[in-house]
Amino acid sequence: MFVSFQKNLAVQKIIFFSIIIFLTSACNTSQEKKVEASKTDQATTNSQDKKLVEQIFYNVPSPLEMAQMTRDAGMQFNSELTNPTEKKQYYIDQTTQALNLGVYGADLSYARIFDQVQEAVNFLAVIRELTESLQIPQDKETFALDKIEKHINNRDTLLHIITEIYSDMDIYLKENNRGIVAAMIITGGWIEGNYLALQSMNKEKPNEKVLRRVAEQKLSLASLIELIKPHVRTNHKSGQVLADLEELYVIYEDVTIETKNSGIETDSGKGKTTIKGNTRVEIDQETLQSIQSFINDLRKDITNP
Amino acid sequence: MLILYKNSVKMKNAIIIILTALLSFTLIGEAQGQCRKYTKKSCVPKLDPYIFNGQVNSALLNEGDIAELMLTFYADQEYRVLVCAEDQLGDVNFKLKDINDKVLFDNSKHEMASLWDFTSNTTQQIIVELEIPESDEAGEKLKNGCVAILVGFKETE
Repeated sequence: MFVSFQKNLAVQKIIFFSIIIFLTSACNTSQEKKVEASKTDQATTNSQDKKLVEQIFYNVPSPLEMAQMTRDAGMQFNSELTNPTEKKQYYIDQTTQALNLGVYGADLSYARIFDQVQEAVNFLAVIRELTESLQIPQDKETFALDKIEKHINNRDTLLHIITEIYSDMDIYLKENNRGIVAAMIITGGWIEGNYLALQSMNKEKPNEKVLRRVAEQKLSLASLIELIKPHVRTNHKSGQVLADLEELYVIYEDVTIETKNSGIETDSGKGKTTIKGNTRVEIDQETLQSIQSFINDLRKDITNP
Repeated sequence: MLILYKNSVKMKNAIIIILTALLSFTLIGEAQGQCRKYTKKSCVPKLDPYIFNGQVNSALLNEGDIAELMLTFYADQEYRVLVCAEDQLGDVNFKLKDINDKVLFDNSKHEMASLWDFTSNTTQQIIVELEIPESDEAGEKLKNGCVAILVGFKETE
């Protein structure tokens, strides 16, 4: 009788732990699911307080947009600012490789925006090596350097290639539960995009447009932190990256951004719709210097492990 | 004898539960993979001529589900926001809201358009909120399918 009771108990334990294991696994595949809107940061809508949001996605602007802004603000291309491709050999662990894949992606965008063809080809080569090291399958067509070189003068082709490489990687990594690698690539790209903009800026007399864009990164930094949070692990390099970004956000708290939208204006002749509004952006010299110095250090840690 | 038989039945049940759990888990993973493939093949091309920002936001959702995307939109940059859903989900309602909860765009007022092209004259965070429509008829099978929220921008000359 006692033996039978013990066996029953054992069977019940197997069933119980199997269900627990299954539920835990299922939760891991949908980390962002069933998030109460009220628990997200200040930017989440108030009306969603009681509604359950099945999925919340956070995106950050593409490094291409940042590079475009530096060009439009009249800055010049400076090859010394980009991360030398020879450094690739020092990137051994996965987190460092992923962060630098993002860094080189931003450098590639920077080179493409300023029509630096050879630089762009060099970055593509190192990006291909890093994706191999990270065991991310490559589309041979996309990465065929001879084909790229042949069409390199077609600005749209290169743009298409950049977009294709990074979106394919994002799809593959998310599909294979390697969200941490995808998150680190985006983080590396964000840091490098900001580093390039800050370094291109005249320190004594900062360009008004660039200065404003640097201040506005407070918004994208908040999204970046939320984007990587579900993926990072404590006692792991990614945990340190998150801690660094949170520390940077503390500096950004001294930046004021207030937006008030007045309405939508449609120009039916041009077929354009514009959200009209005003934003007050304030950043003092001390805060700018702190941001600059923090991003320099962060970028140094990533590119010189 | 009877006890041994009962234990053997319980063991069989346990194995069935484990196998069902493993199978369900595999199927969920497979469906999510299919969803991302659908996004790449059927949704990303609809961003053209805008440049895709490279971040794939797709999920398997059921009717009545809500999903949100939060992104910083830069001043004076031209954007396309695309909400792309599998046919069985019907017309998906989506809205763009600012951080003060002001609705900037509601596709239900624009013939349930699946995309919106716009420029903002200020840099700001905008929330794209979508809701999967619920079936009108009672007893109808619960609809579910793949939905993607994608953002593209235009290159300035």
